[in-house]
Amino acid sequence: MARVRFDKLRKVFGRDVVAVAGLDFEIADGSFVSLVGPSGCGKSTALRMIAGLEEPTSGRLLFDDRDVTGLEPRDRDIAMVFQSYALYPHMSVRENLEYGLRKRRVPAAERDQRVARIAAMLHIEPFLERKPRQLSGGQRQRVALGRALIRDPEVFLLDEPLSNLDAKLRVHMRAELATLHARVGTTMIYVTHDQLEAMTLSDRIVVMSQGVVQQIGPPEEVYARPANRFVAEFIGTPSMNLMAGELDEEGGKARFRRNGVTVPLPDSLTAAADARQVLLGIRPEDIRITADSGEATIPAQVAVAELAGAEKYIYLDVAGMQIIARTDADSPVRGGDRVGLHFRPDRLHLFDGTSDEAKAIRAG
Amino acid sequence: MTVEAASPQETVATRVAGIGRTLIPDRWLGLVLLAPSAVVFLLLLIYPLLYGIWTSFHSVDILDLASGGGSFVGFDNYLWLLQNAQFWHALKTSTLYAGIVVTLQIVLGTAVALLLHQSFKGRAFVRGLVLFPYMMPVVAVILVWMLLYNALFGAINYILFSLGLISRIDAIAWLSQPDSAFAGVVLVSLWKYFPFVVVIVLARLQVIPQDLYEAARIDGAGAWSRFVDITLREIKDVLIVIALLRTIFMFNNFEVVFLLTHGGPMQATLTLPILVYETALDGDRAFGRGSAIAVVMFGLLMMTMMVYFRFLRREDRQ
Ligand SMILES: Nc1ncnc2c1ncn2[C@@H]1O[C@H](COP(=O)(O)OP(=O)(O)O)[C@@H](O)[C@H]1O
Ligand SMILES: [Mg+2]
Repeated sequence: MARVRFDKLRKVFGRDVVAVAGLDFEIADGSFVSLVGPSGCGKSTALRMIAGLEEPTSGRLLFDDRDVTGLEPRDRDIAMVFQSYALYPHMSVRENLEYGLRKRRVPAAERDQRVARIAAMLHIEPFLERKPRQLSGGQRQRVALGRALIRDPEVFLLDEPLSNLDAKLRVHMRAELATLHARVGTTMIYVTHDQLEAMTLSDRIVVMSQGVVQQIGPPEEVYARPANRFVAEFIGTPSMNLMAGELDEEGGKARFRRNGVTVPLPDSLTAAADARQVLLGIRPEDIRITADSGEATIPAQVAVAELAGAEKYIYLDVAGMQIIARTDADSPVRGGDRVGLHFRPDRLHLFDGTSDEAKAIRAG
Repeated sequence: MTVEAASPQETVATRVAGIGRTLIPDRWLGLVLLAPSAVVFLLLLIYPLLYGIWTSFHSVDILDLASGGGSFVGFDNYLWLLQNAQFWHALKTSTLYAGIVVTLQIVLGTAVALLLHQSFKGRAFVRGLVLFPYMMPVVAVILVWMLLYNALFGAINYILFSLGLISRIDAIAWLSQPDSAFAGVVLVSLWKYFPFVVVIVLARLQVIPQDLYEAARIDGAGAWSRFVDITLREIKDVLIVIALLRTIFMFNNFEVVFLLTHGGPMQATLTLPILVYETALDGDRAFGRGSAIAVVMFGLLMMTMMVYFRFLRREDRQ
């Protein structure tokens, strides 16, 4: 096991494709960390630099206090699970599992022992003599995990390992991965574009966009206190509602204004604001819908109510803008209704400006 | 939304062809479309084959050829062949020639394909250049090589002189001595046909997933291990197919040997196709005997193929 430290790690392809603009953080020993972001944001490149498959343009990479920047993949004591699984097609499952051990001259007796242990752990004993193409997607996935686990690496790297599975299996394997991490305790670095996967699996998540880290923190924190507009929109489904408008004041109380609609803001939010143009954010589950459109509520019209199993998504029109609220499935609200909205004041987010990088405004 | 359901019997073919179900039913349409190529196939492939087999059981001379006649001689032509030392010699030469040329072609072709698979400046140009020998007409190739091999003004001897390896008096007449003539024929065949191997192996190399190599690097495999455990195992199937196709091709190859040496000197390069030519079309005009040799060649190649297919089936079952 090892702590992984990025020291201004940067990767530029060719002359000007900046895949990773500079990573500068640390991953604690034994933790499960996800790199998450949209396709093309540099997650894989970052992971491949940890693996040694991609040479950094500048910066250093340290495992504990060992500088591994220039080392060959095999000298780093890492294992990796590829999105495509990359199982050796001509070898049986057993041969796939023990290939790394063979190359490291582990004696046959110990190899057999380790294969048996891993096969039992991942429930792949019945397929040991089969070729990868004779396995289902889920089985291949397990073999790929097994091939990585068997070497007992210091750092375990996974690049979108679940994205080739169907939805149901994906949820299942997600749970298995979590169990697995709890069991082996190795540092795991997980790349995904699926924020839900990142949220459910990780101790900490690293949100990236265009090669730049946007926020690092535990999932709860990233969800509850997104650092900027990008994170706010990327994390959570349906996305956080964002409304562009201006800050103004009335009787010493700050409020948000847009097309005649006003939302009073708690003092804690406005203290640090200096821009006038802001984005107000509210997550769908933090909106309460009431039938009366009284003084304290924001008037809205229901466009569609969409049933999604245990809950309903209510698409609302507020001052010419569409926002989504999440309610219980038994909510009586229907398309065309005129309703009043109540935003939970302690769950309001305010962003300084309207660009992707617009910083969240926080108290203190 | 409604979808117009197609009846199970109705297929794309009927609809595309615009021929109603009533005119030609599906199962006939397939046959009708296949018929022209089937006829051509029968005429061009099966007929000559059957005629060759028929001829091999008859005594056929040039006049019979015109009338389509010939007298039945049973297995006489085959008996003649079995007792003919030339036949056995040619069989041995052909086998050696095909075996050596195919092996060298595969080794050289694979090596060159591996080189051309690397990225370097001007790769596209070099890839094109490698095809050059394959695209050159055989006759032109042979003329060039005859010049190179020439004892008096050939480039090969010139280079040897220049390097001081031989003196001018010892100028080697490459194609006039048995051993060097055989080697010379092998070299030209190798040069002319190895690009075929390059093209196919290169195409196969390009579809090997890159992440297999990356996984192997992480697993601790060095360059040699990666070549043996991934590259070689990935291209093995095409190498087998190439070996089969090239064996058939080289075993039957007539023009390179004939144009360079006519099977000489002292029969050093007398292969079966040349013997067929000499027996049937040159000198004796013994078409029956010539056909018998050709039929034996055909049988040998069929046996090779059967061994090969059996081998493929075993691989499949694994
Ligand atoms: N080998 C490469 N050569 C050139 N550009 C690359 C290469 N690999 C990745 N990139 C570019 O770097 C950026 C990040 O890619 P990647 O790390 O694969 O993103 P992600 O895994 O987040 O989808 C993309 O713009 C991609 O086009
Ligand atoms: Mg990726």
